[in-house]
Formats: sequence, C-alpha cells, structure tokens
Amino acid sequence: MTPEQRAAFIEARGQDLLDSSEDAHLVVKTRIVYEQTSIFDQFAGFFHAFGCLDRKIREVLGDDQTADKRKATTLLFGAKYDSLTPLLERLTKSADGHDAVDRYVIALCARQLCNEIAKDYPDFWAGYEQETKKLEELLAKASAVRQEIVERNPQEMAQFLDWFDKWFLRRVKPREEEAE
Amino acid sequence: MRIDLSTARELLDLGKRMGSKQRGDEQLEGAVALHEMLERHGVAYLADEVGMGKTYVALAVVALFRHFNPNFRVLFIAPRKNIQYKWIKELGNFTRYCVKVRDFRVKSVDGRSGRAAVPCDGLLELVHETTLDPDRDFFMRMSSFSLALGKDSSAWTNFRDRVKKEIPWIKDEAFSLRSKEAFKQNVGRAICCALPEFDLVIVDEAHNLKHGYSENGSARNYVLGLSLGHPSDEPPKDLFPRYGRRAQRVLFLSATPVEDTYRHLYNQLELFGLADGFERLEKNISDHEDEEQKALAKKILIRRVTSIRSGANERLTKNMYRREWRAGGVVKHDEPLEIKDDRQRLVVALVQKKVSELLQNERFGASFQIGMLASFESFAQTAKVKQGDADITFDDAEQTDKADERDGIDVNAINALAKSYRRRFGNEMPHPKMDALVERLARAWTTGEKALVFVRRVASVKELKRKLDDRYDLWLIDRLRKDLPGGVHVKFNNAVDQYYREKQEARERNADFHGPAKDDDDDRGGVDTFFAWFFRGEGPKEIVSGANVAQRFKQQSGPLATFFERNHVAMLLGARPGHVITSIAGVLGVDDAEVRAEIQNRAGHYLGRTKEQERRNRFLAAQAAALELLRDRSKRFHDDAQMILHECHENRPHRNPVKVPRDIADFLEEPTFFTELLEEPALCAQIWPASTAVDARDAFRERELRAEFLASAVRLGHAFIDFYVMLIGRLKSLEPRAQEKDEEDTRDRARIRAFLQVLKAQMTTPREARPFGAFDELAAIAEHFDLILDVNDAEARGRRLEETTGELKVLFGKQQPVGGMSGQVTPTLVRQFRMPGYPFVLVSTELLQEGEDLHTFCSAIYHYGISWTPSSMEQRIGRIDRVRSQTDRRISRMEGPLDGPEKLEVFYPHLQNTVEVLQVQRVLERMNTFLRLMHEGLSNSTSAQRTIDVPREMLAPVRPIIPVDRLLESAFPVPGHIRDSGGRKGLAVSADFAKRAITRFLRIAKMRFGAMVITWEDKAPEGVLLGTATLGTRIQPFGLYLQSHGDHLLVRCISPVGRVSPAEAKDEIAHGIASLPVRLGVIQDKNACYDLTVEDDVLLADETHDSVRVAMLIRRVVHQADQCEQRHLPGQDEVMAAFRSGLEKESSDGV
Repeated sequence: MTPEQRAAFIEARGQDLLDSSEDAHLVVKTRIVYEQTSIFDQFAGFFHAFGCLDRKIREVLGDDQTADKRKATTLLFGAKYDSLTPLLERLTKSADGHDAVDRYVIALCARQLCNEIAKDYPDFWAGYEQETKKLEELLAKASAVRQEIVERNPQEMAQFLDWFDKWFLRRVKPREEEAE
Repeated sequence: MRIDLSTARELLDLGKRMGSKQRGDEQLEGAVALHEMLERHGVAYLADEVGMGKTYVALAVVALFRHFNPNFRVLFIAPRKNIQYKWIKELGNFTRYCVKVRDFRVKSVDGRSGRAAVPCDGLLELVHETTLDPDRDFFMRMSSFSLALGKDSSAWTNFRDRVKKEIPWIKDEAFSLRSKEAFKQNVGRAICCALPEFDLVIVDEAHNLKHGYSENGSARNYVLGLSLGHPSDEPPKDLFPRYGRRAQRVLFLSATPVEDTYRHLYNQLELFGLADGFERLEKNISDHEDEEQKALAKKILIRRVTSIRSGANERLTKNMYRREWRAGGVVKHDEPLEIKDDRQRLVVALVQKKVSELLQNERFGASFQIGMLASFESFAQTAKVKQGDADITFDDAEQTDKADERDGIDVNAINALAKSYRRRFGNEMPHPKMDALVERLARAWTTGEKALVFVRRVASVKELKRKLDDRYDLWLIDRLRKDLPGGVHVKFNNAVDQYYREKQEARERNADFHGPAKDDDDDRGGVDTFFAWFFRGEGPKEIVSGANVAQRFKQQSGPLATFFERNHVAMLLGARPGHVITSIAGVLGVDDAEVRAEIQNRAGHYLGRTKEQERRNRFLAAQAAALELLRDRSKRFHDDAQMILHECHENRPHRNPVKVPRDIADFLEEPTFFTELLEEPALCAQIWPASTAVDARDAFRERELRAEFLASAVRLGHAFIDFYVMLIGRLKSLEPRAQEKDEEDTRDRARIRAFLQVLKAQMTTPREARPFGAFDELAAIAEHFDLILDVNDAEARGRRLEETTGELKVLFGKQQPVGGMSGQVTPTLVRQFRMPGYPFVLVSTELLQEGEDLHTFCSAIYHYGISWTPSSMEQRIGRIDRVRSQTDRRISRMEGPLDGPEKLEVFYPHLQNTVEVLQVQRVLERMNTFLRLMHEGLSNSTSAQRTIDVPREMLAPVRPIIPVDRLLESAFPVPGHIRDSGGRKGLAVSADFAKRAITRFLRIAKMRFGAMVITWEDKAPEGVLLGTATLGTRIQPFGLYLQSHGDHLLVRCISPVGRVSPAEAKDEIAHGIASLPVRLGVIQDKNACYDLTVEDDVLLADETHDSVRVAMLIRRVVHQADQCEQRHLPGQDEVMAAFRSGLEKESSDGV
C-alpha cells in the first residue's frame, strides 16, 4: 500500500484489527470524516486488502532472492496491526461482528496468499519453518468455521464448498481460457 | 424580429397537447423567446427538462418563422430512426391540433402540414430529395453522418459510386479511396456543395454532439460539420464549388446540454460554426468566473423546470416527486439488498474475488468501466450478441476504446465459473441482485403496475425476460388451477405438462426466445410463456384452450362471433333486444311482418356470396337493412340512421341483392355484450362511457372506437384470462364437445351476463383486496382513452371505423407479460407498454433511452445496469417522467402530503458488498452535480471519469449520496421581456382565409361543365368534393381536393382506376400514360380499395376562371382514368361506393 492508502486503511480498520487497546496510540487519524460504513466491511474490501498485502509482499521479495526480506517477514509473520498472523489470530478468537461466511472468506483469502507465496518463493517460505507452521495452524483453525456453515445448511453445502474452495483458490487472469 | 406573444397566441395553442392551458402558454413563451434568439444570434438552445414537450416547442418555432415566411426551409436531425419518424408523426399532430389558423403555409386546408415531410435514410437520400424538391421538410438521422461502411472495401466502392451518381458534377479526383479519412472528409464537403441552404436546422438530443467538431474526433461530428459547411475547412474551390455555410440558424434541443462543463455547450455551437462570441464557454475557469459563463449561455439557452402541482397546491419539482432507491434495495426504501442465504452470499463472494483478482491485474490498472462488468448484471454465461454489424456484450460500448473493456473484463472468468457451476449442480448460479429484481417485478402480475428496466449487458434482456416469464408461468398456472372448476384439473394439468415439455425442448434448441414479435406475422403463440402457448396462436389440441376460445371470437359463426358487436338499431331506438322489430314497426306505423319483409328485402344488398351468409355477416346485414329502412321511412331517425350507415356500412351494399333467409330480421333481437352493458349503468360509465362530443357523428365514432378498444383488450390481453375462467366455469369441462353444446343456444344471454358479473364484482371489490383484473384494464383504457389515442393511434380519430379492427389487431396483438428489446425498437411493444395491461415489464438496453414516450401507465424505472453519464440516466428516467404521465396524474389528484409510494420510483439495484457500490456512488454524485450545474449555473471540478479507480474509491468512505431535495429553480429561464407587449403584431394570413377559400372551392359543385354531367356526393370531408362524371355510357368517380402551393390555392383531382396490381403491369401502364398530361398514382396498401389512380392538379388564379380551369382538370383526369380502367380491367365500370373510403382517405393521409 502507499502511505496514503495505509493511513486510510488503518483509519478505517485499524481499531478492529488491533488485538489490544494499548497499541491504540499507533493509529493516527489522517482523515477528518469517518463513516462507520465502509467498503472494507464487505467482501470487496477483504479482497482489496488482501490484494494490497499480496502486492506489497511481492514487491519486497521481487525476483531478487537476495532482497531484504524483513519487510515481507513483518507483513506475513510479524505482530503489527497490518500483518497476517495477528489477523488470523484474531479471526480464530472472536467473530468480531463478522459472521461465519465472512470469516470463512477471510480465511480462504489468507490461505490463497500463503499458498501462492509458498509456491512462488519456495526458498523464502522454507526459511521460516516455525513461522509458516504457526500460520498453517492458524489457517487450519480459522478454516474450522467451514463446519459451522455446513451444519447450518446440511443439504449439499459440503459439496458446494468443495467446488467453492477450488474456484476461490485458483487465481484468475485476464482472458483465461475456461477451466475444466 | 421579435414576435409579440399575443400574435403567437393567435396562430398557436400548445395547451391542447400539453395537458393544460398554463403549460401550453409557458411553452409558447419559450417558442417566442427561441424565435427571438435565433433571429438575433442565429442559434438557440432549448434545454427544458425531459418530458416537457421540446418537440412541440421546436415545431412552434418553425411555425412562427414559416407563417411569416412561407419559403422557410427546415432540416430536422434526430438521433435515430424511431425518433426520426416520431418527429414526422408529431409534426402531423402539432399541425392538426396546435395550429389554429389554416394559413396554407404552416397548415393546409385539410389540417395537414403545409409542407410534405420527407424522411431520409442517409446522406445521399437527403441530397437526392433536396435536389428533387427542396421546398419540403427533411428529416435526417444523426447516425447517417457516421458513414459507417465497415471494413469491406466493396461497401466503400459502392458508396463512392452512389456519391458520384448523386453529385456527378464534382470531379472524380475528389473521391479517391486511398485514404478513408480523406474520402469521408471529401464526401462531407461534396454533400455540402449539393445541399440547399437551410433557414433552420433543428438538432434533437444535441448532447450527443457534445464532443464537438474535430478531424481526429468523432467521424460523425466531423462529417456533419463538413456537410453543413464548417467554416474552419477551406477545401479547394475548383473541386468543391459552393462549399459554405448551409445552416442559417441552428436550434439545439436536449434536456442535458452539458454533463459537467460548459465546454460541452461550446463544442455543440462550434460544430456548426456558431461559436463566435461564445469562446469563454470553452475554458475551464475558476468558480467566480462561472457566473460570466452562465450569463453568456443565457443569451442562447432556455431551460424550464418541470413541476407538478399536487392537489394540495404544493409545487413539486422532479427531485421532489421522484423517490430514489439509492441504497440499492428493491424491497424497502433506503435499505440495501439483503442476502440471507449462505450459498448466495458465498457465490457473491466468489464472483467478487475473481473480479477483484482481475482488477488487481496490471492490465486494468485496478480500474473498470462504469456499467461494464458483466457480473453486476448476471452470473450466467455471457455470450456476445449480434447487433448491427458487430458482436457486442454491452450497449454503448463506445464508452471505451479498449477491446478488453468493451467485452467486459470479467466475462471470461464469470463464464468459466458459470459453466462449472451448471455442470456440477445442474442449474444457474444464483445472482442475488437479479433474483431480488425478479421477485420485485413479479408483483406486477397482481398489481398491474408497469416497470421499465434498463440494462447494459445486452444478454441481460433475454435472461431477465426468461426469468420473469418463468415466474409469470408459475403465477398464471397456479391462478388457473385455483379458479378453474375441479372437474377440469386433470385435463388442464396434462396441458401444463405438455407446455413444460415443449418449452424445455425449445430451450434446448435455444428457440424459446423469439425476440420482439413482428407486426405483420400471424400470431403463432410460442412458448415464451404459458399465456402465449395456451391463450394465443393455435394453442394445444383437443382441449378448450384460451387460444381455442380466442379463435371463436374471430370466426364468422358461433355466438362469440357477435359477442362484441354493437346492436346499433337497438341503441338508436332505445329498445331492448327482443323488442327491436316491434319498436321499428311502432316508429314506422306498420306491423312487425312488414318490418320483417323490408329487412329481408334490403338485407340482400348487404350480403354477398353464400359463404358470407354466416352469423356475423347476417347480423350486420340485418343492422344495415334496418338502418336503411329507418333512414328512408322515418323523419325522426333519418339523420342518425344515415350517419351510422355511412360510418359502418358504406362499403357493403351490392347492386344485385342475394337471397336471404326469412328470419334474418331476428338478428336485430340479438343481445351483445354492449346491449347488456347498457343495462348496468355504473359499470358502463366506468368502462364504456358515453361521449361528451356535441356532434352526433363525433359522439358515435368515439363510442364505436371505445367499443373496439374494449373488445380488443378483452380478447387479446390479460383481461382474457378472466373471460376464459368465466367461460370454463360455465362449461365445467375442457372437452371441445362441451363448448359446442354450450353454443347451440346462440342467443344465450347468460354468457354475457356472467362476464358482466365478473366485471361488476371486480368493480365493487376494493383494489387492495383483489388482483389486477379485466375491469381495471378496461376502466383504465376508458378513463384515459384520449391520452391513449394521442400517444398510440392519433390517426384513429380520422380513420374509417371498419379499418379500426385491423389496426387494433396489431396494436393489441401478440401481447406478452414481459417485453424485451435490444438491437432495434419494436413499435408495437412500445405502444402496448403505453396502455394498461401487458406488457407489465419492459426490459431494454439503451435503445429506449431516447425518444420513445413510456410514461402513460408506468411510474417505476429500474437502472439494473447503470449508465456512466448523468445525461443518460436522466434521459432514461425521462421516458416515464413526462407531461401527462401516470405520476403526474396521480399526484395532481392527491389531496394530502406526498408520501413515498405515490412518487415516481427510481431504483438503482446493487449489492452493497461488491465494488458495484462504488460505481453507483460515482454516478449518483455526478447526477447531483449535474442538477446543481443546470439549476444554479455552478460549475464544479468533478472530472468526467468513466472509470472507477478501485484503490482510490475504496479508501473513500462509503457515504450515502443524498438527493437534492429542495425546489429546483432553472438557471436559464425565459427572459422576462418576452411577456411584455412588443414586436411584430398581427398574422400574415387572416384566420378566415381558409373559410373563404373553402367557400370558393365548394362553388365548383354548382358550376356547369359543358357536356360533361357530374353527380356530386352530399357528404365529403372538408376541402374535398366527391363526384361521378358520366362519360357517354360509362361513369368515372373522382375526388377534388383543395390544397395550396406557396401562396396559391391548388385543386387536385384524383380518379381511381381500381385494383390493377400495377407492379405486375408496370411497363404496360407506364407506356399507356407516358404521353398524356396527367400523373399516375400507385397505392401500395394491399387492403386499399384501389391501387392505381390518375391524378393532376391546377393552380387557381382569378376566381372567374375557376370553372374553366377545374373543368379541364376533371375532364382530362376522369377520361384517362376511365381509359385505364377499360384497358386494365375490361368489363368493369365501378361506382363511387366502391372507392369512396379510399377517396375520403386521400384527404387525410395522401401525399
């Protein structure tokens, strides 16, 4: 994210993403107007945020394997408000106003991010065995909400989610030929 | 020179077509102001809000000019074909109803326009027609200036050859095809050289030209500018002699002259070389200088704000009487669409994820074109749709130049998903927005409330229609199951099963969607809906289906053949069926037997061959015979009987009577729906009210027309379902045998009474307590009959009654609950939408965005696919927000404060949790900006971005865009001085000029014509004389028509030859007449009573010479017509009765 985007992101979602209130001073309100309703509350917001995260990580990692990976490490495994790990921890701890479908979608976004970074930057991923293991555990935990969705829609939901997961995790590119 | 308002009032009355005198006066003030602007600046812009009647104001401007200058030449440019023809239609209506003085300039003696209207299909046709006769009114299409010739080189060569043929005096070297751009430029220049000078060019929907004249910009604008001699172009004089300005004045019309900068206004002026002095409009300048731009624009621009005055006398501007559903929902106002179902939410999430991945791809720079993501409208597979020469995904694809975006950047991804989903789960992916919309629109089956839906994705038209059709089927089948008697359910259910089988087969062949029905096809029903299959066309076999019953209405025999006939004799005498013969006998002072004998004798003249002697024809023959008897033997009823005979039976009498049965007089005692309806005064007043016309003929004609409309509505639309249910309720069977048995007693009043009971029950049950039914449709038609005629069939008022049935068969034919339109406008569907009943829902692409009025019975519009410019959005809403709209009528009647549902409803369906919300927000913001700009003259800095930059928009908080809610005041009112006395006073032609001319014309019938004996008809339309000349042993009918040419009176003579099929004997006919001083007329109407005429005309000079000049005219025309008849129709010698209807018609719509 650009500094402006990040500032706006933090302003919009920072409070919610924080696990504890003692870090509240980290959030600087850069905009005067604050509306409760934001596109970030919606699916489109989740996808946009994860898209930004993915892009930032890739920018840092780049093609150069010797690049300074600290920033990427922070974004994935760090404890900052805009890192992936605290987000997943928070997702597994409380519903926080999001229902099961929201949480499942967020978990899948995280899963897709991890899968793709692991695939595209295998050396980097292998270099953080403990951290990635923790992420995997968190992902597994976060994905447990899947069962909740199945239970409240017993008819065909499991089958539907199998199909859903497959398509969700497969990244689409412009002019992609029809799959299957 | 300015025209005094009082003088304009002497010439024009716009109130007759505006719904109120006050509105008419305001529009006339506008016309006078525009006239003055055009005189002063050579340019004027009428920017009244949508639906206020800009067409009529523009026509009033033309009338003001032409009345004082009969040679005033006008070119009209409309955006597309349907609007081009609408102008021609409106010119006819305007002249007939709004021009008060038959000055033989604006309005001719017969009420038509003083000049012929010429629609041109292309630029070369314009050149051709103006070369033939430049003193006519020419109507062009804006699109004709595009010179869209595609990539096929032969199309270019052909076009070049046509150009050279039309303009042979331009040197060949001007038309080299080496460079297509240079060729187009030279064609524009050459056209300019060939065109005459126009005193006025009227450009309708001129906002389409907002990007102006530029060599590298829009080819259409460039060619248009060149064709009218743009001053910046200086072509070589030897190649393009006479190149120069062709438009002395230009009047622009658009409710949305700018989007968000006055530069758009400048561009339009500059395209016609009229921007001198208005250069400041071009500049983007700071706010404080805005006022100067506004003051400059005021010199040439007028905008009036439409308002409705509620019954409580509150003035409401459009923003106040519209209710916008900006939160996206369609169920509760100001609430978003709700998706409760997990599966639907997950599907939305999945699609959004894929859209998001695409947007994050560097190719699209994280942005998308407003309205051009397929997923906003559908998750079903999107195939490109053929439209014109191109395969397209979205309408108005010109919004972007990028191929990816034109196709919809998400189409491939969504198609892949849709295909996979269907394969895995056997049905389409749910689309919550579409499903919510369908759910909402499906209310129409029971409310009867119409809805207009606009989409961007072309395939959405078909998809929405299909879903709505399916919903309608569920409703209709369920309703029939509930209402039909239990004993018929097995047979009915079998029919339903058969329907679904056939529908499924058709879908598999992709043949269930027939697209818009063509007017000239026979109705084959189809499987679009159960209504189409069961109630229209041939219907299923071996069952008394709706279609089967409908056929019986059309047959000549059986009781339904006369169900909707009028028993004129009973009505004239005020007698009940059963007492008619006795009543006639009483009037004539004879006994019943004598009446019966007279009827039998006379009826023979009204019946032809044996096969015509079926029930309906006998009924009509008995009516005609009785009317003839009353005419001949009753002083009291003579005039009325003669009038009814003339209106209804004129074409029927034969010279040689045929034998008729003795009991034919019994048909006079036949009850029909209308004789029984008269016994129910309350119901009759609601659905078949008496005319208020003073003239007996006018009153009779109106009642007859109303009866025909009522009958057509019952037989062909939603109301027919009620009729069918009633009928089957009586039969208690769907076996064809049961119907035949029921019909054996042909005089059974019970059927009629049963249907009247259905209507009465609906009338007396509050509307909220029952679904929309036959009564509601019929009552709405009756209440708004004049409005329906005005918008749908203005010609009906002048048409012969016997032709009405055929016209209404088209108007009411092939009805469908949901109409879909893309590619081209279907006139019948549009006309049906302007009436109560089917179609309840009309789904369209931008096709219907401009030009077609859809306001008469619709108060709800859905922007399902959003358009990117405020002008497009406003144009769309303008289809239903017009003078005399349903909303207008409803609010004007209200006494209390205006609440939500009574307002005009504007929906923007969208899902809050998708990026669609961003585009809706953007468009709503721009719509607010547009309002501020036009009503307060304030410019603003919002740029006209047609794309959504997702990251940027994401960061902006989503805040509701609140509609402007205070009373709007125009920034460009009519200048106040127009209301002050001043300017030219007094008409150029006095109001009694026509009267004197007609008196002079009618004297012709009293003249002597030497040896030629002429028998004149007693009755003929005004300005017409009908006569039969005796030529030795033969006779020859003819008509004389008073017309004008410039300032001179002209008499035209037409003598019919008969039905010759001239196309088959073209050479022979042409050869026979080639050397003679007359013209031949060919009528291409296959139903006309003649298709070949001999014609000529003569100018009237001094009145003392009239008899000689007219006698010579008649003599040469009738002589040649008779010669022609003998040559092409040997043995025939037709009388006036055979041609009368045609000759009368020549005065109303002849050339």
